[in-house]
Amino acid sequence: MIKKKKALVPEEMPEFQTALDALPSESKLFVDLSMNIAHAVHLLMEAKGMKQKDLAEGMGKSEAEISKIIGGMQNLTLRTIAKLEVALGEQIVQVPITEKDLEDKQRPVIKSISSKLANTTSNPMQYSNECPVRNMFDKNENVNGNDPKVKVC
Amino acid sequence: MQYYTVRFKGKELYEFRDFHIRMGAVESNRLELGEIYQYIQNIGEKFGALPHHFRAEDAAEALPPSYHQFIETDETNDFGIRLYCIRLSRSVVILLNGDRKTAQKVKDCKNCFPHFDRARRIALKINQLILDGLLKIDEATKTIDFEDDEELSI
Repeated sequence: MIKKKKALVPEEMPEFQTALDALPSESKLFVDLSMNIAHAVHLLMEAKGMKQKDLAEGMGKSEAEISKIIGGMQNLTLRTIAKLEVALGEQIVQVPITEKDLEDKQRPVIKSISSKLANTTSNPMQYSNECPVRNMFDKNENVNGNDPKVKVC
Repeated sequence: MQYYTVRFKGKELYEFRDFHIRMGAVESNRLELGEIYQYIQNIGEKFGALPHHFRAEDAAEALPPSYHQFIETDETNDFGIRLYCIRLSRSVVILLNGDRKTAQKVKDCKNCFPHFDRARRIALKINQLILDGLLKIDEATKTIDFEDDEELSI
């Protein structure tokens, strides 16, 4: 029985957060993805009462191969993920982007460009006199008396 | 979730701080170190200290988890950085020390073996103290309760 509890002194370690803040976004995402997938596989195996042996059978692989996959010794390819999902009978990775999502995302951007152009000039597709391409074209224009081969559009 | 660390008698630094300073001093370690810290943060904030998010190391544990895909280096004997720790419950973890593993088996790695061995002995000692009623994990407050005048000797 504990008669007198030892007081544990909390200590801040700001350098921990500094190291985290310095981590590139793709590394943070890699860790997040790794944990999410590992967690999902573990939860599903537990929920379905599956052992590694059952997963191996479902994926058509040996237990040793499954151990390597789950143990991180092999990169998870899309094909492996597909086999895992079939063996577990559940989706592990979802890609929620559809054409409709892209359309919905693009619409606001196009609208804002159109409104900016509408505010600047009556014909948004006409180059101004300051346009360097147009000016260079103008210099070469009647050198040989022929029509210029490059057209400004 | 609550993380703890320890300080050995005669040593100035806490074990986890010692790990951070030594590993962080080498530029090429910083990316791996950051990734280990991201695991620590995610375990603390999102998943809890579940066994499958740790590497089993005898009576103790280590990070990164065994499913972590280590960035390969040009070194032939490079198995990545290990941070040894002790998972006391889903809410309480003791972070200890570690180094870069340079052999398949930890007993053959001169960098990691001392840290692994200490972690293992601390874990065994804590288990014994729990069985003897001299150490208790309070899940509600996420604290480790043990006698004020007790020193953990390994």
